[in-house]
Formats: sequence, structure tokens, C-alpha cells
Amino acid sequence: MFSCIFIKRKLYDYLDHALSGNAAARVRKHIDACPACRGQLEEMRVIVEMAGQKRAPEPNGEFWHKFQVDLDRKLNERLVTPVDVKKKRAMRLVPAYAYAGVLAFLVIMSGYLYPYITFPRQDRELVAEIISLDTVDNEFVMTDSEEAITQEVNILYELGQI
Amino acid sequence: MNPETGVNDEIVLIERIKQGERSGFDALVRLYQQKGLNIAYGLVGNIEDAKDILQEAFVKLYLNIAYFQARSKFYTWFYRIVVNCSLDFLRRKKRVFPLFVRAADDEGEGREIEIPDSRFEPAKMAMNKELGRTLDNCIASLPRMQKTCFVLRHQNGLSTHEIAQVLKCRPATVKVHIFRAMNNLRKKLSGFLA
Repeated sequence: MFSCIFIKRKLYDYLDHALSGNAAARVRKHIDACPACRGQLEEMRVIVEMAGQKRAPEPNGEFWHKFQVDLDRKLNERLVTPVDVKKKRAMRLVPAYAYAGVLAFLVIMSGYLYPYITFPRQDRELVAEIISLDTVDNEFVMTDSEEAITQEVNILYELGQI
Repeated sequence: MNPETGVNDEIVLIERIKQGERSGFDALVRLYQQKGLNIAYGLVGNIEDAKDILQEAFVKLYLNIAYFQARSKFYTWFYRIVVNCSLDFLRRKKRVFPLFVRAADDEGEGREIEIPDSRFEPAKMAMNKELGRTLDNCIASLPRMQKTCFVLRHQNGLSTHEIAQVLKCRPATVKVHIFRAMNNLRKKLSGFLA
């Protein structure tokens, strides 16, 4: 039924007596005719009733006397030792100091071990460099033009070989 | 005692506490201890934990009473402290509700006695013990805000507006949380409710 979509949104409010008289009457009319919505309302009613039965125990005077004694002790501890609060704050920072220490150790160790570490990326770069040098070398040998010879002479001149 | 009754007494007590009178604090504790226990117990499901939470809430109340400006009702301010303490506790400790709760007896600190959790009293169990137990677990497993709104509404009898004041949100938000909580509970309990 199309109107079920709208009514189902109002079922909880209906159960909670949060609907106006007119709206409640419309919901009631629909529920009388619709077993699905009636079933859903009944489920909600059971849940609310069962939840309402869960109450905290109502302890006797002895419980409350002990409660009061413990409360006084805790309050006095808190009142006379305000330093504890600072200690607790400092304790909260302990993990942060520990993490910072571990991080510093790792950074120092990585710096120390860096020269001994061979990275695969460097190998690849080296191979690429050798190939490029070979290419340049081949080009240099193959070009036998006057311009190339002049270039070679200039390079050797700059290097102080001639 | 209904928190809304004796508002003038409350104001007097609060003023006395602000001036450092412990007797005023003791009187206020007696006024709100059972209500506070109901809320904490509804959220954590264990009387001993609820007691500790309530004590912490009262300590915070005493230490921060100077900040209470009476712009809102006192009981919404106090309930907010209890709810926050309970939620802090739940964040720290993921709890499975036991059938029995442990309580230290009066004679020995070390010796402990087992007392039946009131949720599992025979009279209540006779009605539908399996459904009741499952419902407790389902409520405990609800998302934080859904659980808080549901417990305050259906186990402590606060209105939507009161819950909104306690949680500092809009009443419409509270309604949405309760609506979602109800739908979640229906889904989780579908096997029992069918």
C-alpha cells in the first residue's frame, strides 16, 4: 500500500503520543486496515515496554552510605592533590614522547645505514646512463664530419689533453 | 524525587556549595543519586560501574559548580555530566553484560559476593527472558548517540526536549536518533518479534 511509506514514518510518533489529534486519527485509521503497519507498531510497542522495564536497582541505605564514604574519599583526594592532574596530563604525553623517540632512532639509523643500502632505482638509473653514453659514443664515432672532428678537438683542448 | 520539584531548594544548595559548604553538596548528592544511577546504569549495564561513574560525575559537579550559571535547569546540567562520564567509560572499556555483577561486601575489601543483576530477576525473566536479554545486548550495541537518546527517553523518562537540553542538540536530532535506534532494534530483534 502506497500510504504505508508515509505512515511508517509516523508510527513511532504515534506510539510516543507525539502526533496531533488529526494525524493520530489518520494513523489509527490506516493501522486498522493494514496488518503490516499494525505488526510494525506492535513490534515497537514490545521494544518500548521491555526497555522501560529495565530499571537500575534501587539500592538500600547501606549501599548509599558506602557510596557517600567512597565519594568523600575521592573528592578529598582530588581536592588535596591538584598536582595529580598535572601528572595525569604528563602521563598522557608519554606515548607521544615514546613515538618521537622511536622516530628519532629510526632516522639516525637510516642515516647511518644509507651508504650501505643499494637501491634498485639507482641500478636502473646507472644502466640508463651507460646506454645513453654508448649512444653518444656511437654517434660520435659514426659521424666523421669536419664539424665532429672540430668538436672532439675542442673537448680535448678543454680537458688539457692537447 | 522529581528533579523539577524543589527548584528553590536546589538553588540554595548550589549557592551553599559555591561557598564551599560540603553539607550542601551532600544534600544535593542525596537528591540526585538515584536518578544519576538510573542513567549511568542504563548506559553501562552494570551496577558497580554505574556507581563509579556516578561518583566521578559528582566529583566533577563539585569541582565545576562555579561554572553553573543557572541559565539551564540544574538537572539537565548534571545529567549531561553523568552521560559524558558514562560515554567516556564506554569508550575506554568495551563491555559485555554479565548475568551477575560483582559487589564487594561490607566486611572484607578483598572478598566479593555475587548479586543477581536486577535485569534478570525471575519475575522479569518470566515475561520473556530471552527477549529481554537480547534487547539489553542490542541496546548496548547501538551507536553511541542512538543508545544515549533511547536510554534517556525510554528508561529514564526524559522528554525529547529535555534530552536535547542534556545533549546540547536540537529536539529534531534527538527524534532522529531515537527513530533510528528503534529501527535498528527492530531489525536486530526481528527473530524474536516475528
